[in-house]
Amino acid sequence: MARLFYGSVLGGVLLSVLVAGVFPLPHSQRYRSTIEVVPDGGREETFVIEWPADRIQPLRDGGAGSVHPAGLVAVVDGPAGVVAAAEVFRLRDVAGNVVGLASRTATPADPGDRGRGTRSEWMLLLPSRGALFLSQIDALDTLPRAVTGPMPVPVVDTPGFWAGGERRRITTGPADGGAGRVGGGTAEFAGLQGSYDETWERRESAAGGVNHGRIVLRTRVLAGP
Amino acid sequence: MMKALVIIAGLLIGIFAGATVLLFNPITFMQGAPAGLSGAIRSFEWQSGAGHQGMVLTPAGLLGFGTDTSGAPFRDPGIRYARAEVVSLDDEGEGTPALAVRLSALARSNSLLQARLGMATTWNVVWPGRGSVLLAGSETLWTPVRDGLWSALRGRGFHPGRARYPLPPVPGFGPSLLIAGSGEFAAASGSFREEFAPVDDAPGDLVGLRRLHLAIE
Repeated sequence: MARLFYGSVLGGVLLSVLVAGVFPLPHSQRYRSTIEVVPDGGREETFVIEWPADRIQPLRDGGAGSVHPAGLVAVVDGPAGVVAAAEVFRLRDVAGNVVGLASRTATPADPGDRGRGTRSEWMLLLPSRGALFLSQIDALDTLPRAVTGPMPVPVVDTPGFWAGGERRRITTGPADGGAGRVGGGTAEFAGLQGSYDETWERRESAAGGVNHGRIVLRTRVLAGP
Repeated sequence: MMKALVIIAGLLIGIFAGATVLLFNPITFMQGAPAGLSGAIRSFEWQSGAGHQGMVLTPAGLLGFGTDTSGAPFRDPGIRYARAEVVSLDDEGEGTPALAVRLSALARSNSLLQARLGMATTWNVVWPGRGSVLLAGSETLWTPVRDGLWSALRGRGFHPGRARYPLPPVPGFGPSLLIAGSGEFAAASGSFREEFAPVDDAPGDLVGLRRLHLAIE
């Protein structure tokens, strides 16, 4: 009987180890990457954000400390009236699959010069592949602004923004050719350097001043030295 | 009948012993000391409750069957186990508020046998008018989960016992680093780590009260 008992104990130990070994821990799904090899080396990959559908507002109404929600944008007021804004999105591949999360932060390029260009940074997190970090100088002010009331709205929904056309190139530097800079990454994106372009495209203007369109991030990277 | 009872009792004791050995896996004691930070260290506090979207950061959430009642879960298979937060980081030393976005996802190398239960994390911290930093790293939550479960097994609820848990990187992820910066942080390099402090009125919440230690060289 004692042998049976100790054998059962051993069986229980082995069973728990087996369960721990085969327990299906969760993973976000991975989609086939759509990457093009460019002629002069490196690779090009395009990511897309549909707005307003892909916008995410993680903040609750009360905000977090000094950070407060302004519609679907998070804003903090810094010293001397300088503000910073953050937007969070679902991130898609060119086939339209949601492959990750993206955040875009913007601050005035020159703290004393609100209304002209901004400096912005992108953080792309693809759970199945890693993270990629981008930074650029914007060709125009991409901070949210108040239009009819005190609540600021995303700049794509402000009057006159699309007067110059249905497609706006946002990136204007600091890399060669007016491109933005790929600043590094993790996991599959570790050690990559390169450039990117950000364009905003409007497809339709809906009632209430909310536009529908997309942000296109075209990255060109190669392994760093 | 007697034989069946002996087998069942043996199996239950064995399963409990096996689970205990796994929880207190010797690997965790080697993971317990996160690498030190070098350079000027700035510490920022933030806590859960201001809102998030995506997976809930609890033991159940880490195992894939958590239900989220505090935020909106992502339904898309590509981000089902990811999480987005926007937080305010107040620098106690200077009082300048920073806007920070924290994106995280379950680490793909998680393994119950190897005591790996963690998240890959990225941060973008912006100080208006001064500059910004982009951070990439990971955090292992095995130790607070283990202590919380041990507390629960003893009938005390999920209450990890320590006041603070330094969260070391997930093995295989490498150190948590400052990747890039702008403004006054343009040429900076550095590293960071987070600490978790349990909050009594939110048992099971693994965000709790957090402290971000950022070392800039």
